[in-house]
Amino acid sequence: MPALESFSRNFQALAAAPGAPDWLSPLRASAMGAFLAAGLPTTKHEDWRYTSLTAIAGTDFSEPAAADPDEAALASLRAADLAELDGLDGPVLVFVNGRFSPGLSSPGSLPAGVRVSSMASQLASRPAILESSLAATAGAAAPFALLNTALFTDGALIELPAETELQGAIQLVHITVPGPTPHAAHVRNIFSLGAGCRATILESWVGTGPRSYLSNAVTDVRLAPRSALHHYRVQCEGDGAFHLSDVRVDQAAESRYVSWSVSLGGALVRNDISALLAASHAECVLNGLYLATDRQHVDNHTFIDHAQPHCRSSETYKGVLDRAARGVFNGKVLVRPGAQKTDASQSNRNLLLTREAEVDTRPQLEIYADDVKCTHGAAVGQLDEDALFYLRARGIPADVARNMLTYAFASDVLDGLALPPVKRRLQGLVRRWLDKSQERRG
Amino acid sequence: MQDTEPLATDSETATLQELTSKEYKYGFVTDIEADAVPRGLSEAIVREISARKQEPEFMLEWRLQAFRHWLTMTEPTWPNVQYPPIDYQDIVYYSAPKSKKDGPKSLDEVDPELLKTFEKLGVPLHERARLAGVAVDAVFDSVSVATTFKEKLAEKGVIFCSFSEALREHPDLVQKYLGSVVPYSDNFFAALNSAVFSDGSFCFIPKGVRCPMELSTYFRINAIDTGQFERTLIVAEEGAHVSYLEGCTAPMRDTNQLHAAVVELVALSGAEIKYSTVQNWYPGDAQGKGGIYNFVTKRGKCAGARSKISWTQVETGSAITWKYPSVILQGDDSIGEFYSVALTNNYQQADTGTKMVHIGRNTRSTIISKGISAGHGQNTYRGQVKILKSAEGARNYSQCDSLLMGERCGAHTFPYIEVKNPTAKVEHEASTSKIAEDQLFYCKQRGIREEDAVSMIVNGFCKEVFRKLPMEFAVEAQKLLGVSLEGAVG
Repeated sequence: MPALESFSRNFQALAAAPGAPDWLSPLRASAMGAFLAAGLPTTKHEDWRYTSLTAIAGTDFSEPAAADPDEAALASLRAADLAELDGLDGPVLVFVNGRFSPGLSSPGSLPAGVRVSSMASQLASRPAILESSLAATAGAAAPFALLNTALFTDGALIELPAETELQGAIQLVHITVPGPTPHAAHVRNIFSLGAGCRATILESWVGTGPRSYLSNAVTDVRLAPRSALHHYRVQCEGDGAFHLSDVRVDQAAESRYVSWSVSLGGALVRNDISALLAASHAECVLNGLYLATDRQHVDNHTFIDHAQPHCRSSETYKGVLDRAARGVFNGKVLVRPGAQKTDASQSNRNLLLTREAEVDTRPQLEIYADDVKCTHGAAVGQLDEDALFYLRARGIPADVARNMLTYAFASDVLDGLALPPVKRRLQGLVRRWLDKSQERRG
Repeated sequence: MQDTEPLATDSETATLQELTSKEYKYGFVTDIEADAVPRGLSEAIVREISARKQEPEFMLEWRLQAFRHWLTMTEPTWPNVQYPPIDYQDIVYYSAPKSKKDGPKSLDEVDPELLKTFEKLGVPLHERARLAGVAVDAVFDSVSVATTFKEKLAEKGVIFCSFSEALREHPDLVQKYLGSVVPYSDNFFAALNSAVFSDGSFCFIPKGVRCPMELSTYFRINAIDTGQFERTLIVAEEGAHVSYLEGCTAPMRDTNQLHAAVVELVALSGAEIKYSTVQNWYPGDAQGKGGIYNFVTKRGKCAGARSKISWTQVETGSAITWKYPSVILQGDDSIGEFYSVALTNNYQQADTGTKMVHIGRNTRSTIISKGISAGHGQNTYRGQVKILKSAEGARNYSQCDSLLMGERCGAHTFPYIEVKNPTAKVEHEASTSKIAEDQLFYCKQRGIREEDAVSMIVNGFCKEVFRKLPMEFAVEAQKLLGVSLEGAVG
């Protein structure tokens, strides 16, 4: 398979490059070995049942070009796409083709002891958290997380000391300008919040043009007791992109993780979120929205592991599938023996706009404790004909009425959003997506 | 667990019993051995089974194809159940009526626990011996029941007989429908069943006939000892209607550990098949030793427009249950239903659910699944709802509720929903909870013992499903649930 060969080639090149810290090499080598031994998963794997990786397997991925694309052009691109976020306080880290770009970034002012930096710059100084985080995941079974450990070159390292409260948001902007041949960027992030911290992290993924490339991001989130993180992922990759992301959350007692995962771009998208509620009274809230059209394929996998009693989780994912798009949702809630008083709810609702669209949804509950309250629901349907009729009877054209109802369906996931600029941007994105889909229909 | 007795065909049973009841006077191995099918599975064994049963040529062909296909398959590992590996070469693949020599000689020899259970279920005295496997001939007068029964059916043109008989009397019908819903290549256990199935039931309701009575394996005399690889085929022609009952509530004694049955239903235009099961095979003891492995493939095809297939099951027995009664909704406006109560206590494991495949326009399906776990029981609902492109206006509603009793049991829900048509409406809801303390308190306060209160609440939880069972069955099922849950609380 060309992809595997190219990954091996990248790995050799990385191993031969000077300046790599020596503790990292064995970690990378074992991860690469495990990845190659298992190979790329096929649809026979239960976790990849509805998502075929044939397109990725058949692509020869090069390393991203070392030369920085034109900074001025990038700056204007960023401005155009992310203008709505201008009112947002806090540092902005910009990554171009997977590498940190100091020129485009703005450090902002941060309280003492807060570390917001690029992974590449931290590798050499080897913070303890980096090594332990990488070591813990080197043997993990998820194939692209292994590949990421073997091949990552950059990402964001965010560390907050205990009792820090950050205003605004830390922004991570990933811009991809694909070259003539497809490249693969493996991004590794580590977010670590000390006890009692509060923070918001906003990741934006933007890409240009129809060319093919691969973004493979792995994010490890560690939440100490009583800390709270709001984590936004807004994915607007280019039309030819393969976007793979894996967020792994480890929650201590009374911590709170709130995620908004919004997916609009990319040709083949797979988002994994797994949260381990490792101590009592931890809470995990996952919100998701995916809009897909043409032949886009969006796969969202979530896994919430209730390992201890008195934890809560709630999950709301909604999807709108237009044209020949395909949506996949797989949400698993595991309640381990002894995790009494667990309260878990999950819902996945999908709207199919055309005959060619398809959705496959699998909400799963695996429960080994009796004093729990767990529910899940899934629904697939279309717009309510009565509601459409009501609007049209009041003189609203069918197209507009359709758009209004679709917007209402999709946007209620965003209702609970706390930061006005982010909410505006997301609502704007949904609206523009709908307008575009209406235009094409008209 | 496998029967070590030499086995023989119907015609030879009498002779065999006569011979085996004698002591071996000379201590020699007699030539009876030559009549027995040795352990293990091979092409020769499949040929042998078919020859013994004097089956038509097409049947042997089909069995061999199934066997060759089975060789290429591996046992599924995806169900959420654990059991030690099965040695398929250590099974005697032939289930002519078994010698009853090793059974208890009278009710006095039967496990008193079993008798107590009969008592609680209110099983009539004369049936207890039969159910316990006591070696008494004609313990009750079933022959006359069966005879009047058959006459009445024949009048209407309904065929209801054993599979072997069907192969002899109606080979064309069998050939036409066998494997049309569950092909031999379907899955590991279905392939195994197709290769070696021993007997089962065949039922054919001709056009426009409403079957005058509920058909039940309970009354069909030759259904006794159909063995571990049972095969059932029910065909309802245009506009026909039949209600079929399988199993009974009393615990059955059986020496075979592995049961891999196949049930196929075919409903032509406007036909309706209602299939009800109460399964209460030996679940193993309280420590989880022994017990039946029940790996069943059940599927119905709504082949014609406006046809309807309805599965109702109450699963309380077996150490392991692996069963997904499914409906293929091919005809326009056809309806599929699945109502299930599955209970696991002690160390029982159940991975059960359904599959609804919507192909025709305006097809509808309803899934109501109630899982109850107690003790160390593990109960999994696994269901698939598939809406194909052609299924315009399809509708599905699924509801899966789990009740947990005790902190060491588990309840799991794995629905698969695949929708390829935008006009479809699919809803799935699931909940998991335990019996509310306040409900228990309320009952106890009014002088109802905790155990009775639990039984009452559980029955209320299952009411939606019990309502779908034929009347007498429903009453028995309620009692059965109470008995199966004994010792689960307090």
